Amino acid sequence: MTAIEAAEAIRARRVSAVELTRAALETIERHNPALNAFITVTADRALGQAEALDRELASAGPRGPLHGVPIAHKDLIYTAGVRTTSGSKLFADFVPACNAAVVDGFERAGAVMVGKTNLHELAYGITSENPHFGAVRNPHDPSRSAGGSSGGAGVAVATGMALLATGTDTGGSIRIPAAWCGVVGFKPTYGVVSRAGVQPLGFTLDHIGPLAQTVADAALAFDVMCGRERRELTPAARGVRIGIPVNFCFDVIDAQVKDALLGFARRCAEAGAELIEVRVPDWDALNATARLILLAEASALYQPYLNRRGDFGEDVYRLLQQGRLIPAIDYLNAQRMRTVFRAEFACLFGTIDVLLTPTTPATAPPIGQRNIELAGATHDTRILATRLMRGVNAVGLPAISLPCGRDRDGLPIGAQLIGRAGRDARLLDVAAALEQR
Amino acid sequence: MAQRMAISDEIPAEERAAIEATVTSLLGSFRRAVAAMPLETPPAIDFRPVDDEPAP
Repeated sequence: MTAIEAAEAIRARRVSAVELTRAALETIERHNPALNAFITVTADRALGQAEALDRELASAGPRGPLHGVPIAHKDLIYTAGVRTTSGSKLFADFVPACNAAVVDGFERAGAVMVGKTNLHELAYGITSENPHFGAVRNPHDPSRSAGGSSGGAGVAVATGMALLATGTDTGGSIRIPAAWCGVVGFKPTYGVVSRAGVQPLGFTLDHIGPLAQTVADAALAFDVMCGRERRELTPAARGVRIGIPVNFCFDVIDAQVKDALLGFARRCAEAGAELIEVRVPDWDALNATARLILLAEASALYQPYLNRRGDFGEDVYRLLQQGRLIPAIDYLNAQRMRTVFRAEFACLFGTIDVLLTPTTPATAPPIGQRNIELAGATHDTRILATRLMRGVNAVGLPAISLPCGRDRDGLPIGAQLIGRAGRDARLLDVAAALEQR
Repeated sequence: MAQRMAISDEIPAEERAAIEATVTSLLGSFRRAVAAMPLETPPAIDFRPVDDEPAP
């Protein structure tokens, strides 16, 4: 059942908020011990909230478009009175006094929070192998990574532990787990969703967005996160100009992922979309720009804590040390380079509506695997997985990952559609038309 | 020298060298790209929320 179907069923009194919440909690009880998607499960609170919502529905009608729908928040999004760890030992006992703006939005919409999802430590990584709260495991093969940093969110939505989940994305942290868990992940245009009450990582790269089973669910969650009225999707594939990159994006890629993407593009064309070959800007330089900015910003943020080495996992500590070596001149020049790339992408989007790339060049790797062999070379897992991700954060464009097939092992493959800045609604309309193709 | 002092002494020398090598490599490729950037390019530290605003 999707979030929209659940909300409709509740409004029609075919099911109650308590029944749906119990079902979600039972799913968590059944799957969470093996998959470790949640750091905190708020069962009693959720049931209390659901009972109140059922009473409210009977007396006053639905509170909002997600009345009674079970959702989960990533555990770096502040929830008043509920521990918010950021997946870190530093904040293991932190209980916020107030909600993040997006949490308030979901409460106004009538959603029921069933818990806080596990993540890569401090959201600074893409595997969700958390040294303090355990590794999040992929629901399609528990020996493999769920992706990250919003790994628990991806698993929660893929298994029905929650019907929607919030995520954050500084360099792929919504889209990577969405791709590896086989769900939809949407990173809106930079600045469109409020970051108030969300633990930062890269001040100028952080985005908030939803993970969902369908584009329609993601679009509804996005409206809720923006605090605006629900907008009906108008899916339309006919005449949509899809840019197919002839450089960079398909250069380093697993053959099965490439086949799935090309098949997806072919099906889009059959549905009436126009495929246009395009050259993308210097994405290697864009990635270097984004990496450099993130290294400096994350280290600036956590500098006061770096004397507590034992409180950090090895990978995150190493990245924070790397960031201390970035000169101010290079950080500022990286911010200037973003101006160049924004203009180049704006020019590119003069000829296309969306750009199609793989979300990740390979499917979910085994947990603990630090390198991936691809195209005759050995690649660092983190660098490879973010190859088509982090640059999009640096230019602030909206991007969505859609399931577009599976590899021979049954692992999901994600297709990324990137849209023009500020044209989130248009991107969601196109994605809705192309999903499941 | 200043860079060496920035890394925590708690990290073994071999690991410090690896961290420095990673950053040196990143800076090298980045600075090659910066060399072609027009001098008048301003920083884009803060994008405005651009809901429904045409891209620049």
